[in-house]
Amino acid sequence: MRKLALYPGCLLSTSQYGYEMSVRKLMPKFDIELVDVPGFSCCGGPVRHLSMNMTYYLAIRNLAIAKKEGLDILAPCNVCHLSLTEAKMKLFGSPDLLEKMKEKLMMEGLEWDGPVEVVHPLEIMHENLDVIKDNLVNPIGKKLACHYGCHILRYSDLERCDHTETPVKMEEILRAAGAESEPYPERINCCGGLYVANQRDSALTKAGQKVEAAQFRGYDGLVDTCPWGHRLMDGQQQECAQTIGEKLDLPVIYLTQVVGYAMGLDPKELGFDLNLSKPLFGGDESEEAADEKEEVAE
Amino acid sequence: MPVVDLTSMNLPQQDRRSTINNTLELIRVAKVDLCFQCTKCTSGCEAMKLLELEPHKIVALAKAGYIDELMGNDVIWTCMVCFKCKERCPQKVSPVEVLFLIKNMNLVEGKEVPGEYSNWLQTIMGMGMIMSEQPALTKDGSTVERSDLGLPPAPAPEDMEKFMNVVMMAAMELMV
Repeated sequence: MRKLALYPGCLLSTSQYGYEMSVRKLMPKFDIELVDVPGFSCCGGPVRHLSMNMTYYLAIRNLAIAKKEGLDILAPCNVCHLSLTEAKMKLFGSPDLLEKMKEKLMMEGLEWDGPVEVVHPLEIMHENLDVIKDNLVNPIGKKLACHYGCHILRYSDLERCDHTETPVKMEEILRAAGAESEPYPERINCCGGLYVANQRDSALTKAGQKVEAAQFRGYDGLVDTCPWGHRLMDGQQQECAQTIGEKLDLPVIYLTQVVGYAMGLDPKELGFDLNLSKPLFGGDESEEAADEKEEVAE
Repeated sequence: MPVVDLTSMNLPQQDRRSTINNTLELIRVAKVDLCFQCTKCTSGCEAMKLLELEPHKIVALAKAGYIDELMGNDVIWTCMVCFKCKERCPQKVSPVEVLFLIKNMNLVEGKEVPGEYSNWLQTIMGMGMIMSEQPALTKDGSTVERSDLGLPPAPAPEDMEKFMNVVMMAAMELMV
């Protein structure tokens, strides 16, 4: 069994609980034990605009904390995954900068003892395609669109999770889970997630356009791996719809939730209740049931 | 003879330009001088389609040394950090990181930062994350806390005061 430190980052630990629940439930299926390490802070990714220096420091201190426990990091958030990987590689290539960061770490009572590996759930699921196929309980049987998110694909100078322009892993995972998934033109477009700080309308426009593209192409749902996109495309889908002036009603769901459901985990424990868009599973039936009830009542 | 910006009547700021180039060198990114204006960055820019950010023009201005003009312009805050420009540049120039450095100069010099950014910075210094723990909405309209869902408490730096001091110091200095 491989032990990994779960690095929840800002969004998982403060609002996107459904993603964290599904990651916690799903990872043991792939022989991974998640450890909660105290002391983690923001990865620095959302505040690059303010200070790259601070971003590198925040990332490096989280790596140092995981290293102290002797653990590699599982970072389910794309922004965290890039920020941690970037700091590791940049400091590895720049001894002067590393010296400065070491001084700062000492001021906080931390030590730099070499980098740790940063892993994304997408990579783990892709390494375990056979496990998904062998343990398939509920084949998904739907046509699903993928939203990778920018930060696990770019930039390729660093080791990223998949190919930068033509990624394949998410489609392969969904096919292993019994779903149908083909590439569509807009799939590596940005969701505008990092716009929320100062360009909220534009963020909603970008997210809305992404959902609209998947809906227009006839997909049953949109699957993502990044909490920044999910909070807009799922949590604020109706606001996105108003902003772009279209009618949007598409299920948006985390990849870990889809795979967990396919492998027979309890939807409640995967945080299905916390997704605010139309449900991917059972939604139509419950609507019909509701209609029937109304008819009976009349 | 240097070119004069006819709008601001400014001469190029060569010192600022070398700060940017030296920082880029420190973090192993190609200097802005290498840009040959192929506009590949702009043709793929996600923010171009929406808010008319043109990364090749940003790099051209930085290359010419008009950094003050860039620092005072709202357009630098329209980048959505998709990293497509950096990925696709044939010269390995990184418009997204040039923009970061220009915005970083704004913060260090005490200029105003837009939107939620100053809130995020304060919350990071106060509690470690960009926002505080919030109740989540469920599909049936009720709200649940982290603990209701069987999740352990969110992590936070152990010595908050030391953390705050170091982060503040890091935020307020340029890399070179």
